[in-house]
Amino acid sequence: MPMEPRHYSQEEIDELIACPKAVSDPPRKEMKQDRGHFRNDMRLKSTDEKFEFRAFMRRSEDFPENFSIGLAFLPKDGTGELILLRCNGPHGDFNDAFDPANPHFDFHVHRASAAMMEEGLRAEKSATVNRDFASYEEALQYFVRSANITDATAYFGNIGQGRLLLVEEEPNP
Amino acid sequence: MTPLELLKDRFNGHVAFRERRPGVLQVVAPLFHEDGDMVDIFLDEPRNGSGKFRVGDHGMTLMRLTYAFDLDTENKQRIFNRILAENRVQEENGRLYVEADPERLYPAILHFAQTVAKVSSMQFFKREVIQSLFYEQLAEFIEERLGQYNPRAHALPIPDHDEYEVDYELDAGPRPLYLFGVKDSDKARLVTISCLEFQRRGLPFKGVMVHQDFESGITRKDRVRITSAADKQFPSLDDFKDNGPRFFERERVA
Repeated sequence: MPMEPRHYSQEEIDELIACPKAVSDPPRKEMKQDRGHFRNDMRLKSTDEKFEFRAFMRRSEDFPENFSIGLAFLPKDGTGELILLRCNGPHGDFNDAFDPANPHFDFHVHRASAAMMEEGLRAEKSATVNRDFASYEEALQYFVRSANITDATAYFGNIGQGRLLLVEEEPNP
Repeated sequence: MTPLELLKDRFNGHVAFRERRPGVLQVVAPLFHEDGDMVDIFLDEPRNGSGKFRVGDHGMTLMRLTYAFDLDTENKQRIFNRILAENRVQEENGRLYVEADPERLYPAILHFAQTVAKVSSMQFFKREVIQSLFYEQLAEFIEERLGQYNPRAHALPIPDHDEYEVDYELDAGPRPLYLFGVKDSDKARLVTISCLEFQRRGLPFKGVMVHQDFESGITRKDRVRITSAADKQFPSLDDFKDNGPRFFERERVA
């Protein structure tokens, strides 16, 4: 019989984002050029090996400030992947309420929301402006921390170096 | 009126322009993707004396598509090309665009946004989405082509034991046919257990399996187990559509 859409609680979503993960299928050393953008991909497993994920990194060739770094959960029950997190550059006036009077033009993060899913909307439709990164490189660091990728330094050499500190150490003003 | 003033007027003021590069404006219009991001539309000012604007995406549509879907097969590429051709949208190294006269920017932008939406919808061709249609397609075929055999969905051959449910019970001979759609290994195991229980209880029936993908959709051990429990198997829905009606007819006259 047809598969019902899977329901997730917000607690479950938050746990999927935050659970410790390790790289199971590594990214390329360099991003690959592909029809107008650069891309890289990798597979992840939770360190308890219960869950599988994929991460994607995309960056526009024409507008390098347009990028997206995302985390998708790959459930094993055939219900289809769920985009949990996307860290985006300022690619346009983002608007989560279809309200043109309330635009954003900034770095922002889409995060899956159980409430959105219950309304039949895209899980990651809700998004917030983010001040913790201001470049692709910083967004990658932010992503690695948010997704709790424990062995990222083995694949992204300079991650964790440089000026960007942990969120707890440098909270938003 | 300049072309941009005319465009703003046609949008009833609900549009703005941001210079992203010299000669390249981003159109900030109330056109959104399902995830809340704005559709990326740019206006490249006329070059080389053509007098035409280029309404394009600077590669953003395909980039967005690859978040969840890749054009990595000939078939996917063919569908993509067809969407572009039917909408008269050009592609240049992943960048989609149309050329438009200055006074035609408004319809060109709406037309372009519509094409971007169609390309973006290709994400619904994802394997798991197509797979989820298997049971619906099976049900549709049974209803349309096998109605004469009185198909009953969700049959319970053992009263009060709904754990042994049959997808469809049909009358096509001396014994009822219990038909199961099998999409994956989980379903294969469930069907195997049910058929073995029916056999253990001595129920007169024939077990008919319609697989989504017998070769690679279930594990080798599950293939062995379900083959042992089944009386007839169709390795794919296409095979069932081709040969199922003849099988039912043979059963009827047996």
